Amino acid sequence: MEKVEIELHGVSFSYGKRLILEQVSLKLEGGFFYVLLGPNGSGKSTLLSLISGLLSPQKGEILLLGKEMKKMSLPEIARCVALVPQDFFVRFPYTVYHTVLTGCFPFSQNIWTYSKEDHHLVEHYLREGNISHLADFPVTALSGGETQKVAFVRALVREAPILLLDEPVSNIDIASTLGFLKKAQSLAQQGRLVVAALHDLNLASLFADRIIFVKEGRVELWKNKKEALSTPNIQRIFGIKVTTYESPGGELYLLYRVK
Amino acid sequence: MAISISEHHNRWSSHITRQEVSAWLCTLILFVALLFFSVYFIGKGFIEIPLSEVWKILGGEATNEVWHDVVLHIRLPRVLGSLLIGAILGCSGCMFQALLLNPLASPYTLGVSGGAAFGGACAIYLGLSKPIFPAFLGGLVSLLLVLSMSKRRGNFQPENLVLAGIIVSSVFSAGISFIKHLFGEEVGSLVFWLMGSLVGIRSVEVLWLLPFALGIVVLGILSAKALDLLYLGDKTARQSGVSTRTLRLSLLVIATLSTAAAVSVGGVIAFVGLVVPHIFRIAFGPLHRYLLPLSALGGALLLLVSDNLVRVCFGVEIPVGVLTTLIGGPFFFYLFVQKISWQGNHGKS
Repeated sequence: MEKVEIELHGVSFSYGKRLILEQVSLKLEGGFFYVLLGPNGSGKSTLLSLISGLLSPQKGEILLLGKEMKKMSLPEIARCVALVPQDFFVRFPYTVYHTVLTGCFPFSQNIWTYSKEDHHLVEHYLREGNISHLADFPVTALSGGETQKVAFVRALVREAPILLLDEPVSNIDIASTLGFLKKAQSLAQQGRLVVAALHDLNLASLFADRIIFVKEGRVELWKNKKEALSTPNIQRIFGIKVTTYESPGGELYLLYRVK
Repeated sequence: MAISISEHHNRWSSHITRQEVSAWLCTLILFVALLFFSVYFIGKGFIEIPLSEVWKILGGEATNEVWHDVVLHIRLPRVLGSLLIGAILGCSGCMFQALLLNPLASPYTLGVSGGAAFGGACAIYLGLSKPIFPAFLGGLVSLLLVLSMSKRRGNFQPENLVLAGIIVSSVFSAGISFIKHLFGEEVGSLVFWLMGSLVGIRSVEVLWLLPFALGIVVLGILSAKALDLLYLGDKTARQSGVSTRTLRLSLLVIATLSTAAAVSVGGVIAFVGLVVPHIFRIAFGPLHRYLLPLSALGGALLLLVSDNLVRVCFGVEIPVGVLTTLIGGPFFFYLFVQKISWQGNHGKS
């Protein structure tokens, strides 16, 4: 298998006149859980959209597993990268089962149906995501959090070397949040590349191997998460005051100060 | 999980097979019904022909000269025409609903009926009685207008396509009103054509419809699997390896051209393309590998029965568009009320 990595070389992107990312160069490696942090509108989703092939940069180039993205087809990209989008919204009453099954599309060989292996994958990951009991229901009848779980499981089914999560747990209860992020963490430990955009700094601290800050078109990669989440750094990026507290187990917690 | 692996797996395999079997069974029943009604209606009418004789004539045996002409030159083309037009409308309606992510979409949503009707109306005003090519041309023009408008503004996104369709069809309907005004007292022939009628379809017209009907059904079935991803939104579909732009554009062109061909022969027949796909979606779920063939067959059956029922029972000709609605409407109402409850809350806000 080729080395799992993403390289960005001088990537710039703007929506019309609004410059989002400017001359971003970055190298991400498999085996790590990267957490993207930054204020709203800083370009976290844009960065993930660029890496997942939904947008193409106006300047610079992106390499996926050593291949130039410009030369890859959509199915080829989809086989390398699975994205859990921020806004997973469904309008027709397909079942949860089928919705997850369509996650197998880029791999699926048959013109007409999905293979037995595809069905087995779906069953496996529905159980793993604890949503087997929803399988028969139309996705349109689910709550926001349940829909987000479906989106997460749908991305897992693809078993792609790169997993991108765009605020994947914004509507999910805390137990499931920890469950899903643990799952993502274990995938990273198995050698896959996981990038998650999160807002909760404590979740970032608990799960990240490395931190990426995105602000005002610039990107900084921190290999040491405790240094990244230090009080002055958080003040600089988010403009808020935090007190950090390190538990005896070595985990770093952040307390937000409002007064 | 409480459910053991084997139990769980059995539950799924049985679930999928059951749905598949019932859909194929329905397809088979529709096929048989189409065949039966086609032969039955060919024998019925002002001149009654026994079923056995109809079979013989269709099989190429010469019997009664008059019967022979009635069957091969009048009733057979009309029956085949209604089958093809019905199949095109059902199938393209289903496609439009999937491509535009809009359950209210129909083959006429992009304004193709307006363009085709305007082309036809112009030709009728100029003295043509069967304006096939002008109508088709009108449909083509409206398609080009809609595509160029929605390309400039938003890259063929569903909302823009629908909006462009509304603009184009309202301009054309004003044009039709203007031609009606020009007709003055003799507006009747134009109105009758606009309401849709399958009277006097000839073999040539059947041959003209055939490639469109085959094309849309075959292409629809080939892209059924990709169509099943569009409902997740373009972003998720693209990230799953579907090139949504190519898929949407090519199927829209096929569906619109087929519809234009159908309108050029049969006029603007309402209801079939809107409601037939819904009937099967309620009955068998939204998977396009069942939905597209079923919509084509269902559309064909609805149009065949609507076109012939009154002709045979009462011996008069009523615009077929009126009848498709009269027959299909109550059935849809029944399904809507009966089946909607178990599907959960579709319109979740």
